[in-house]
Amino acid sequence: MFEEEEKKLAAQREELANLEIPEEALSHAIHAGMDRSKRNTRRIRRSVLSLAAVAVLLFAFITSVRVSPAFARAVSSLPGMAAIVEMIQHDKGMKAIIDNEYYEEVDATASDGGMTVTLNGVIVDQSGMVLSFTVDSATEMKDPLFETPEIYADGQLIEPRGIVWNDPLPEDNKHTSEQMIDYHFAEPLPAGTRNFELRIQSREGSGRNFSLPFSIEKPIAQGKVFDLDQTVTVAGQKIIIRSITVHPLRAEVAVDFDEHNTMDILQFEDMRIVDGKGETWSSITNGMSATEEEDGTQIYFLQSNYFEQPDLMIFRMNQMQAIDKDEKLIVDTRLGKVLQTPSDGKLEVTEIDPLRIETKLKTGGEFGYGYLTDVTDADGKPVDLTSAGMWSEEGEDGEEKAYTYNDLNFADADYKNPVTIRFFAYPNYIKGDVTIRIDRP
Amino acid sequence: MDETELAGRAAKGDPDAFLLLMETHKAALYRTAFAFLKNEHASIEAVQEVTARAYRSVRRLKNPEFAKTWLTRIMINYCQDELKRKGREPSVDRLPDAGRTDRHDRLEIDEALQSLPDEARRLIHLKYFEEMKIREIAELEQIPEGTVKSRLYHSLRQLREFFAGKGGNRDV
Repeated sequence: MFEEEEKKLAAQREELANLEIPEEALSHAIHAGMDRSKRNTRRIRRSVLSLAAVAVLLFAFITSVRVSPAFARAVSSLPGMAAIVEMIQHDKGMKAIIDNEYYEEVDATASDGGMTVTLNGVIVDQSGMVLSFTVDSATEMKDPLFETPEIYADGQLIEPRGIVWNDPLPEDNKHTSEQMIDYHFAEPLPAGTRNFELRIQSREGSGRNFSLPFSIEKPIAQGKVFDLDQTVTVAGQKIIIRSITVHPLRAEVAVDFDEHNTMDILQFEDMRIVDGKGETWSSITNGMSATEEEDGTQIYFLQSNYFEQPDLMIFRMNQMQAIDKDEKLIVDTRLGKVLQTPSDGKLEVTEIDPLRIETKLKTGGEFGYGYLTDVTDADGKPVDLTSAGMWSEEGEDGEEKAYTYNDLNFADADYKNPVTIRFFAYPNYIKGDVTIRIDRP
Repeated sequence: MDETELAGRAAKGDPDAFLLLMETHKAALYRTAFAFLKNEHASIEAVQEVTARAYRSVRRLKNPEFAKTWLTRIMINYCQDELKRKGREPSVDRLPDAGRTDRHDRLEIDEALQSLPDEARRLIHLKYFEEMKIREIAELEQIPEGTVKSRLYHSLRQLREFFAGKGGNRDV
């Protein structure tokens, strides 16, 4: 009945059967796949702690920076750089920081009850600080995680806009652990600051406290501000690009949305800056990707071209996540009831209690965003969060990252039900072509 | 040791058995990848990715006698996701190999297959390229055999319509 079609398919099969098989390359691929799998079997979980605005993580490896093995080796030989090498793989700005020797080794150690924390080095600019440190313990570390980092400048706490740190999982017989903290400042740090102090607490051993004062020699780079104030329209939604500020650690793009928009614009997946040669700086994909100011302005983080200083810079974006303003997630935590979820059925609430909700989103492959953000109660009051976490799970058939989970932990149960949870990201898209030329001031 | 025994040991977490299992099926998996991705490099990468995914979930392989089917399914899922992901990115047009006599036919069938919805393409692939039996496909897709047959029929008709449409356009 379908002889003609079946004949064409058979010819195609024949061709596939005669395909030359790259035996050796495939054996390599199998070994590499097994190795990678061994490394990645840990569940990824990071925590965010934020006092003012809520910040959530992007943990996607959408683009990766090509780093030569020689470069990676050279960087690895610096003390405590393993965690930072991991960051460099995914961030051109981080690579430029190392290339330009903006990383500074510091020397500070603190001990408490057989546990020693050694600060290896820092990268500090006006937008934040990345610290790498090593923990050594005389006894086996059952839970190597450190919590509640605080950074002080000249004795004053630097208010964080968000903090990201890696979450080393317990391993057997572990005595040493390399860790890092990515601390975003709520306000630009005065460029003359020299003296700092890091305070952290180990989760193990009923919370040992460590205080590590240190000072830096290198001057703090001044952020470069480009004021734009341009309104663009994508799929009928108005987006106002306020400004771009370029620091060594990141470029911050400040964006507002018109209040008459029918959709909430969430993440800009392909927001980027391109120079005259086509070189592209895209989103930060391993760390904090965006945050919201108290006045509602969204700040998106791009990889920095601070050190390249291209003559021509063009700001571009083509695709953004957006969801109708009517689509909501509403739950009653006391009754344990889900009152509304988005109509596409992708989101499922997997746990509810007065102090925590956990949700599962069907992403069908790489998504990589923590997708929930702030919570408001029945009276419209914000509900305080202590942390949010995200991790992903493969599907039944082994499909990687088929589902992403996001949980929110509430500071107390002192709010009025039901609560509405806003989305930070969602796998629904609108498309357009936004191109803005950025002129040097 | 036969294949089922090998897969059984791999499912219990024996890395050597898993490696051997992958070696046994690597050519078939590569062909599957190539059928979808049409590119040597991307297909090798697919084998690496599928190895990683399979290794992570090998303990869930309940019926070792279906190890190859299970691997094929993971591969097809990966390839279809890859194609979707690539479709979202600005793509570089792939030029056909020059100097091939059957170039036109080959491109036409590729194009026709690409025009099919994911499920239809998967069924056609399993039936005509992997040469699986209707019963095996039904098991893999977890749909009744009758449904497999009717969907295959429907998919072939879509292919025919595609060819007919193309033919018409060519004459203009």
